[in-house]
Amino acid sequence: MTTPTLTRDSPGDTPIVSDGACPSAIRVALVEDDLAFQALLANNLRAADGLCLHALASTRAQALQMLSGEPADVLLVDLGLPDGSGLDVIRAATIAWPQCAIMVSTVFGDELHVIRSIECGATGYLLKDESAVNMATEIRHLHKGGSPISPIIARQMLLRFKAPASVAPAAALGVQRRELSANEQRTLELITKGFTVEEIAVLMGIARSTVQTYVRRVYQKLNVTSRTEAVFEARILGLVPP
Amino acid sequence: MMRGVLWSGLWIGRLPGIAWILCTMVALVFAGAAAADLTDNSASEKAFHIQTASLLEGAVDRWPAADDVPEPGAQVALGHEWRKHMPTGTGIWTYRLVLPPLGTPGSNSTDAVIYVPRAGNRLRFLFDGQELAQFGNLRAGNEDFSPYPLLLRVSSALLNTALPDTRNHELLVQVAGDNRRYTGLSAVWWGDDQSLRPRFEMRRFVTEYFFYLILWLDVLFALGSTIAGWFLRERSMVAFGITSALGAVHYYFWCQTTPSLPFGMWLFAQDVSLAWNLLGMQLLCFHLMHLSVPWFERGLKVVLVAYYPLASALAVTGTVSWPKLVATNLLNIGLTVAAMLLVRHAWKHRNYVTVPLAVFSTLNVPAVLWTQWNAWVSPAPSAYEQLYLTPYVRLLYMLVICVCLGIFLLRTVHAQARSEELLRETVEQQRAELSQFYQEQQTKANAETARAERERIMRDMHDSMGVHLLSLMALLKVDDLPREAVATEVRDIMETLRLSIDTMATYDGDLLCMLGQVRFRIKQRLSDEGIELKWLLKEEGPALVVDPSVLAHLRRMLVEIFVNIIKHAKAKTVTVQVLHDIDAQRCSIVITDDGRGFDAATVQRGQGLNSMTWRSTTIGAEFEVGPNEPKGTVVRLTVPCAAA
Repeated sequence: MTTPTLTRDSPGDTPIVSDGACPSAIRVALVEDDLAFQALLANNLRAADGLCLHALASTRAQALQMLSGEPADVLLVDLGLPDGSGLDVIRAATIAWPQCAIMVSTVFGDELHVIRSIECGATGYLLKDESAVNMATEIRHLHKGGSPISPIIARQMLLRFKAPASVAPAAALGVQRRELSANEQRTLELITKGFTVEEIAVLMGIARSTVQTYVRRVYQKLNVTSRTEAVFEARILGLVPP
Repeated sequence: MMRGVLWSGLWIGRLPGIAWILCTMVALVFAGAAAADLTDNSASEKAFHIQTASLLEGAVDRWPAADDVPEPGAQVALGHEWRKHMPTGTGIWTYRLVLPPLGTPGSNSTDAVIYVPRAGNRLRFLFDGQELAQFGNLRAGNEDFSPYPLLLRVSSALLNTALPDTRNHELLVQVAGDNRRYTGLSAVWWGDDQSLRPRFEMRRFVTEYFFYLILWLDVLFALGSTIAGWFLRERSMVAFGITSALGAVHYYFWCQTTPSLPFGMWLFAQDVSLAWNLLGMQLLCFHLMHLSVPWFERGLKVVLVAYYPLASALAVTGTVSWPKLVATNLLNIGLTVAAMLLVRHAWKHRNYVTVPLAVFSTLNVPAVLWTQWNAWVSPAPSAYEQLYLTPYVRLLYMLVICVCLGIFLLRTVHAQARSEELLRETVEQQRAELSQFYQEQQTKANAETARAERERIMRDMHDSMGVHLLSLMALLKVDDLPREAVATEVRDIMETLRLSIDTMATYDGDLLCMLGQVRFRIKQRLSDEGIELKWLLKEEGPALVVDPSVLAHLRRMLVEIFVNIIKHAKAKTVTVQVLHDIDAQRCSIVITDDGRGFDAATVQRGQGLNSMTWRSTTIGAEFEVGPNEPKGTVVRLTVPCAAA
């Protein structure tokens, strides 16, 4: 187990960053304002094999500053930060750390927050009360390309991609939006009916990892579509030059 | 006959019936007088026929002879005894006229003409013993020139002849009369072409062109009004169109010089079309004036629809002629009574419609009477040549009806527009009231939904979190705090909270998605307890939709069932199936476990079972619990659903 040393340049204002000693381990950056939960997560990460706490931030400002540093492999973000929304951090991370898998830490894993996070670029979410073992498993799973998804979220995905063209601003402006492939569509439909990834792999005659890939792609397409729509909405509003 | 009159009177009604009987009796007396007159003249009529036959065979007898020699260019009056027969006699009349020479003695005018203002019927002219002209075959009986003027040119060769001694000329005029139609000849004019032709041309213009004008106006009214009425769904316009068509039929036959039908049918068609045309006009007048006199309208219908055609048929077939005379007089009486009724009504309700209709209805009566007077009664020799006023008055009458109908329709349209406006306002008002009522109901429904939702969440919190929190409180009071048990209770609370939050997700009634979400939430706990979950849902198939309010209760019941399995069943395997009965539109969720089983008869009903029973009753679901073979429990939840 590797236990890197975290240092704080300016207490309270700057993130705690590691000294870079995370050889061959999954580097995890953490953005969490609840100090008790932050400590619990940090301890769990330190205790887990193959995981390394890369950086730690407790505010939006710290998190954005953290993104200017060395990228992590996995970023765990809490949405409710004292000085802003964790969604801003997710958006910034998709640009600053493009290779980083972004995970939202949520108490309930509810439809509204998860979908919004995915639209901003997150590719997974973690329930805050997960046991230490489960938490480590989920992080490793995400790092490998898997993305957790519930039937409700899968249903929302299907609805989003089935929405008529008039609903989508980008489509209304003549921009081709990303469509789901047949396999992605089928995967989402089976998830909606409660089938697990393993059961879907058997039903579709594909590997488990392929199913996970489909889910990840759907997340990315939603993110791309959302960003495209946002850009066009901004253009319509005159916020961005055409 | 008397029985028929009395019967018709009784049928019409008591007081109007008596009036009707009296009118009919008067008409019969008048007809009887005419018939007696005809009988008195039967001898002369017979003589007349003999004389005519003699003339045709070259005899020299003449009847009646003109005593005076008229001046050139003047009217030459003929005898008009034939008019006493009224429209009941037929025969051939011969008139002898002595005409003075034209121009100075010794010089023969080459433009001498004979002008006949109104040809009685078929005519034959003999000038100084030589045939001058013939209009139709005197004995053929199928030709008719009654309304038309004639002009005959006398050749110079004929003018060279003259009666001995006097240098006068003799003109014999033979008229084949059929008094079923007003025929006869009362006068001719003798003179030069220059003086008489303008008279002839004017008369011809008035006669021919005006009749054709009437005819084509009738056709125009008939087509225009019928088509417009048909499209506008306006019965009075259609009635006017039909009335005009009957007028057109009448004048079509009237204008013919060679009947297009056998003579009897031709006369009958004229009579019937005229009678029905008059009936239509009178009824339209009554309708447009909003006047209702049932006894009169009924009587008019009896006379014009039944009696008049019958009388006409009897006359044209030669069976008996006096009923037609009665019918004619009844018609006169009817028109007079109608005019009086219309005038009285118009006097009471004076407006743009009633006054013109009453005036022209009244004018129609003297026009008809004056025409009949000239034709049959007037002692003036030239009375018969007077223009028939009836067609022209009738034309004006039709025009007035047309204009009044237009006004009537405009008023109707205006009234309808006002009515529609009123209706629209009423509808708008009712819609507003309905909208307000709907909003009130919606507010009530929303309040009720919110209340039900609060109640459901309260029940959820009481059934789940409340119980967990109480357990947690009890654990915290234990001196040796069981940390693991506390952590488990807290985790249960978290899971319960998540499940409650799931109920707020947008399932839109998707049963399978709700079921999948329950599995998603519960699978970790099942796995932790070492329970295998077999998910036997069909991978294909449509979405199954249930009422969203039903879905919330179902979700809670499913969680309760799984919690019971985890806590009490000690099962190794749980199987979930969904069965869809398409015909009955019902879905069943079947959950089977291989645990220690469930005996509904002996088990003590706890809070959970009571709660599930209450929920199933609330949503109208069937909730069955029973033993599974060889062991375990089967729970079946059946609810109404539809395939989407």
